[in-house]
Amino acid sequence: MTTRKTNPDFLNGVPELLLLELLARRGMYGYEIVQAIGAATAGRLEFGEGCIYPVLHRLEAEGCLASKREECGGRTRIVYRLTVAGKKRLAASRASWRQVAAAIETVLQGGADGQVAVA
Amino acid sequence: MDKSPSPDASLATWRDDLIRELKRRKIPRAWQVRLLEELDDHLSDLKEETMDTNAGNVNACPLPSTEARLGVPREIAEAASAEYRKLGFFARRPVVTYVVGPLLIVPAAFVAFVAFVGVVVALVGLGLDRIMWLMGAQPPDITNEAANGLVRAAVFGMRFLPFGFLAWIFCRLARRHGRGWRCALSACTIVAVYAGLLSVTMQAFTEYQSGLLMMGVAVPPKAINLLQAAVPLAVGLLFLWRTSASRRGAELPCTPATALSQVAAQ
Repeated sequence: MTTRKTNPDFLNGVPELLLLELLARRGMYGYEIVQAIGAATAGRLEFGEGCIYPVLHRLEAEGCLASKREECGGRTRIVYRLTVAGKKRLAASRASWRQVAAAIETVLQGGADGQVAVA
Repeated sequence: MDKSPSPDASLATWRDDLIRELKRRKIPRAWQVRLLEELDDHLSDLKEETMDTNAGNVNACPLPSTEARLGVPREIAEAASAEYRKLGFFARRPVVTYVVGPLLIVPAAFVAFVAFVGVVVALVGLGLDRIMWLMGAQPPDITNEAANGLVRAAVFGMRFLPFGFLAWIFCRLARRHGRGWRCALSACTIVAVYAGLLSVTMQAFTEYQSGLLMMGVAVPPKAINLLQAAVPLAVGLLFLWRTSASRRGAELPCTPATALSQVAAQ
């Protein structure tokens, strides 16, 4: 059986940001979230789809998400929604991510080192 | 002859492996059940997706590929273990936090509150004249009635404030950890039992006799004890009402098609 290998980067804080961002738009259940990640990233992120559930459960235990059993498409699903605490966490995560991305971009462009930038 | 396992057998093996891996990592049973339930749902969705793709050719549905999409059992169990370990103590131990915690904390917090109130009353009642004297002002003439009134107010506060405050703390903790109403109400009930059992009797001091403050267990409980118990319960019910109200407000229509179209639109 071939198995999809999880991209290690996906497990280091990125899934949390992605999940919070997507759930800020609307409530979704697990499979929907995976589809939404695929659609939003044009399938560039590869990960074992089952690995999102532990992240969802942790975020729920931390109060960032609220879950509710709801009838969706003829089946009862556990639908996740962002809470007020989740919105705050998302704002902090967004800011932190942009800071990191900007810092890395600076390094990649050689901007942090004056000599390299001039050269 | 093809000796590869049937899709159902392969799925069962995958599930058994996952359960074994979760147990090996000592993931709490409630977490295991929830994870397996959602993974089963996810597998059903993947099967439906594959069947739709194969346009009616049900025999072409390759189950192993659906399992492969979910991930290796060891990897999912590792993720579950890592996420579980990220939680703080209070979030990981609901029984300790919302049952054992109130049983131990409520008496200790009440004693601390009484001590604090005692110090404040003593400072206000006995130390005020000294402070005024140090400031060179005339000490106020505090009558026995005024002093007794101050102590009465403190005793009245003792009956309600610490219990209401503790109930609010536990509800806030439950809300913060996404624990829901069961944890909050169980903690509030324990706080309410303590509050209902508290009996406080005060004898005012006069020029001829000193004051007396007695605390004990109210058996049988009086009307005031029921009122004392009602405060933490009211806090718990208010939490329950606010939680359900916020959930009702957050409800949105739920269909995969609308979800994908909304995500695509953004």
